[in-house]
Amino acid sequence: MKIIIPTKGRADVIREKALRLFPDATLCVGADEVEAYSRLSDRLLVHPPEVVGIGPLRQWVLDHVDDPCVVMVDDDVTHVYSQVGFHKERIEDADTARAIVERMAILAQDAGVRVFGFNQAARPLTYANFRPFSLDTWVGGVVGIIGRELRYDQRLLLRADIDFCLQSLLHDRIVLVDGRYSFIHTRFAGAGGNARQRSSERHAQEMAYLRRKWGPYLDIVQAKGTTRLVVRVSR
Amino acid sequence: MARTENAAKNAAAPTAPPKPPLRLEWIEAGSLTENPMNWRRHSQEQLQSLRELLDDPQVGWAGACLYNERTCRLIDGHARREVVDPKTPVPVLVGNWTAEAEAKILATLDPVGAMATGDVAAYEALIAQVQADGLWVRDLLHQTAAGLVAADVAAEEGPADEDQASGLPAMECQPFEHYDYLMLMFRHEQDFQQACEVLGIKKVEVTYPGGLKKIGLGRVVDGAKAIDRLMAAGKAGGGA
Repeated sequence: MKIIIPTKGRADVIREKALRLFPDATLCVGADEVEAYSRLSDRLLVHPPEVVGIGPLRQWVLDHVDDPCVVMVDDDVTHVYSQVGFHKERIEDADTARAIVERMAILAQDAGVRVFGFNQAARPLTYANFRPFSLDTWVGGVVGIIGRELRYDQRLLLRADIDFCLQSLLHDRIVLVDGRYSFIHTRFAGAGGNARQRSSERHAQEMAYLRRKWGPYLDIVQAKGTTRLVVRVSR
Repeated sequence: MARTENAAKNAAAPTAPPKPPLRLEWIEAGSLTENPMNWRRHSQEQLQSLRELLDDPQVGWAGACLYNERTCRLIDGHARREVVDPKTPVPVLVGNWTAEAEAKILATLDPVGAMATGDVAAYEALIAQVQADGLWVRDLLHQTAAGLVAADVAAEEGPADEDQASGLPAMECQPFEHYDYLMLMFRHEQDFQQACEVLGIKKVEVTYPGGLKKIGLGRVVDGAKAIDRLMAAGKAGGGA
C-alpha cells in the first residue's frame, strides 16, 4: 500500500496537516514546487505542470505508482475521529492513522473491492454499531484504490471522486466505506490546493455533466449554501 | 450615332479594376467599429482563452475578423477586437454587403457553425496531440470534450421525459444481486481457530512506519467462498 498526498502551494503548512498524520506518505507535487517540498520530505512524486485538477491528477498518480494499492489523502486532512461508542474520539497519532488505513486496505482486498474509504461525516449518533460498513455510497478526502481497472474521468477537475465511486458502483457493484472512522479536514484559508480550478461556472458545469452522466443515481442537494452530493444507488 | 460614339469612348477609357468581393487586410483593431446588432456576449473565460491563443507563439492569428466596408461595421470578430491593443493591426476579411445582408450574416454565421455535431472520439484523438500549456485553453479543451460527452449521454438518454434510469440500466441490481455482510463474534479460542481454518482466513502482513512488520489476520471472506468451504467442511465432517 502506498499513501500519496497530492499537494500544491502548501509547502509552508502541510507539515502541520496531512504530513503530520501520515509522515511516511509520498507527496505528489508539481515540477515547479519540488524545491519547496523537498525541504519537507525526500519522498516526492513529481508530476508535470500540465497535470491539473482532481481527475487528471488522481489518474496521473495511478498511472505512475506501481503499488497495486494506492491511498490518496487530501493535504488538509489533520486528524481522525473514531465514532465507535457514544463519544467520538480524536486520533492524531500517526501510527494509529496508518494502521486504520492499512487495515481497511486489507479488508477491501479480502472483500474483492477496488475502491474504499471512510465515513465523511463525524457524527457518532448516526453511526450504527451493528452496521460498521456501508457499500453504496462514495468516498473523498481519503480514497483507497486497488488495481487500475477503473480510470478517473479526466474531464472533472473538481468533483472527480464521486464519479470514480459511481463507476465502481456500476462495474464492481460496491464501494467499501468504513463507518467507524472519519478523516477530518481543516480547511486552508486562501490559495493552494485545487483553488485555481475552482470557479462557480466550472462547478456548475461539472454538476451539469455529472447529472447528465449519472442521472437519478446522483442527487445534488443544495443546503445551507453548500452543495451536497448524494449517491442514490441501492445495494 | 452619338450614343455609339460615347459607348466607344467609354470602352476605350481606362477603368479601375473592380474590387474583389472579399479581401484580406490588416487593419488597426481600434478602427473597427462594433456592430450595434451584435448579439453574442463574450465571457471572461472566452476572452482569456482567446488572449492565450493569440499570445501563443505557435498559434497567434489563425483566423480573420469580418468587416462590411459599406456600413463600416464589424460583423464577426468582436471578441478578438476586444482582447488586443487598439493599435494592433489585425487580419480582417473586408466585404461589401447591404445592411439587410449584413443582418442576415450576423444572424446566421455562428448558428450555422454551431449546427455541426462533434465526434467525441475524434475530438479526444485530436486533443491528445495538442500541447496546451495555458490554463484557459486547457480548460477550453476539457470543457469541449465534456460537452461532447454530455451531448452523447443526452442523446443516449432519449426524450427528456423518459425515465432517466433507462440510461444506465446496469447500475440497478439484478433480481439475484444482493450485497451485504455478516459479522461473527467468537468467545472461545478453539471456536475462533476452527472457524479460521474452515473459512480459510489467512494471515496477512501489516507494515508499520520504520519497516516494522506485524502479522495480522485477513478477516473478510467472500460469501460464496464461505458457503463452499462450510459445505465442504460439513461433508468432510459427515463422512468422517
